[in-house]
Amino acid sequence: MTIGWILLSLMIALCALGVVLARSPISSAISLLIGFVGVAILYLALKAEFVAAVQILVYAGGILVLYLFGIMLTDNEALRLTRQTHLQAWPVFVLILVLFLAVGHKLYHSDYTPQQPDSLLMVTDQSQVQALQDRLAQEAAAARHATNPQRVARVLYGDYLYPFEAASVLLLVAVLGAVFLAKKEV
Amino acid sequence: MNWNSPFMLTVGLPLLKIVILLGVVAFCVAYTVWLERRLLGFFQSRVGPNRVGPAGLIQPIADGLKLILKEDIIPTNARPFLFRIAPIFAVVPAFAGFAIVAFAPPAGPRASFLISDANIGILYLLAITSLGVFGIVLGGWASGSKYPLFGSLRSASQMLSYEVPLTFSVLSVILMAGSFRLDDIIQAQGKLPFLVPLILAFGVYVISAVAETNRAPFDLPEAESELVGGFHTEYSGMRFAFYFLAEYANVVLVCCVATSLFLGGYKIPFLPYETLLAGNPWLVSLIGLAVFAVKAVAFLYFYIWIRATFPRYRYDQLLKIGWKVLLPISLLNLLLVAGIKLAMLR
Repeated sequence: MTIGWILLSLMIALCALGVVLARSPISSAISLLIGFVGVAILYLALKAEFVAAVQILVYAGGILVLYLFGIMLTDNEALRLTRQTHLQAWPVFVLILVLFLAVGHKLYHSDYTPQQPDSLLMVTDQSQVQALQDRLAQEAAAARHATNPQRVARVLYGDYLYPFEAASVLLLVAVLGAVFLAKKEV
Repeated sequence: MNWNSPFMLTVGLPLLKIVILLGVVAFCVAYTVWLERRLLGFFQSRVGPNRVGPAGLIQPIADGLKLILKEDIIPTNARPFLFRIAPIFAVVPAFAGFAIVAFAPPAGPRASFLISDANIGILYLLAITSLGVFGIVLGGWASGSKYPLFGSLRSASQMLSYEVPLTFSVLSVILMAGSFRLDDIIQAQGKLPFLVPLILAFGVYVISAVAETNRAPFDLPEAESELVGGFHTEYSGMRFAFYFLAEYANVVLVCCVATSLFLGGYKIPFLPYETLLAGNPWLVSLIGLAVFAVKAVAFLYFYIWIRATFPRYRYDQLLKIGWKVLLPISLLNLLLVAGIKLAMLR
């Protein structure tokens, strides 16, 4: 299992590198496609089936096709002449390294521990242990009963309804803006 | 061989099922082509292929052999690597979609007639079939020639446009059944196939599916009179056969999905044969398989009938129908179904 994780992560990382480093835009797009599929497999392995399907449906099947569309509509000769330059590569690399080290340092020295309500070790009182065990069993039964999409829906349309609606309004504004920019006369 | 070992259950059995399914689907695809050519002949008052074997039944095998033996040409202007792998991008999603189709009621806890009982079922199907467009787009672009490029551009915008109403029509089915699992959706149609309450969604689904599979009257990516052969103009031999296989595998997939979503799958309305024959699970499964096949072939007939009847649309008409007719109808239908569902819950 662990070997699978490492291989998958390595594949995704390589694809991400391919997106940045490939000289022709179409190779970048194909790297991105394989990367998207890899991330979807990662989600599947984490038992987040819904997110995995949406990842493929929206990013690979929708957005990436539009990218390809854009690349193909660009003049073929111009495409052949335009090569990505990598002049910025080294300064950017240094910048990323600094950021990575800063975040890593912060994470390493923080007293952050993953939330573990499931852990029985944190509870010492015997009566509490019994109560917690009961609750955990109930939750596990409920989780087995509800399918993954149902649980996602409950969170998305229940707990986070307002942010969700706000995001959709934001997207609508973006669509209107794009139409306004693209049309000569509105 | 121990069939109950964990290895057999998690790897061996699914692998066996996949191999069988691939074979069956490939066979069905070959004979879908035969059926289509025979039926088109019948619709157009001509004979159709009837030379190779009785009623032309060996024609698909002869065609396959011919395509295998043909030279594999890669044009000078093509991008060789992409040109080679593009057909694979078309075939894999078309075949992978069959993984969640429930063909018959399970004969036992370990003898189900589907490969993956994923709880995201239909969502997986939508996701995986949306990848099929890459084969066409990349193939057309990699050919390095004008007509294939036009074909692939058309196909990209067509498939993106029609994916929206298709998804909305499927969404109304999901809403009715209350589940993404194909088996749950079939079970929900025990008394009445969704075709009756969701006739609007069915219409949208059929039209969108015709457009998604690039078939007449929406076969603009390969409109012969305008684009020679469209996206596969430069392809020959096995690589062309892959595109052909992908297109017809998608047709068979659409038939199976329409059967599951709208025609009640392996259920017979008013005849609960599963409970009547509960003591004989294998017989139930066989009947279920036969019912499913009959429904799927009936839908296939309808599908070919559409192709034989309608003339090809113009490209702007195609997009206009997608965005200005089908999308509002499917949205309205979704709203209606949601409203009725909500009213029933109260």
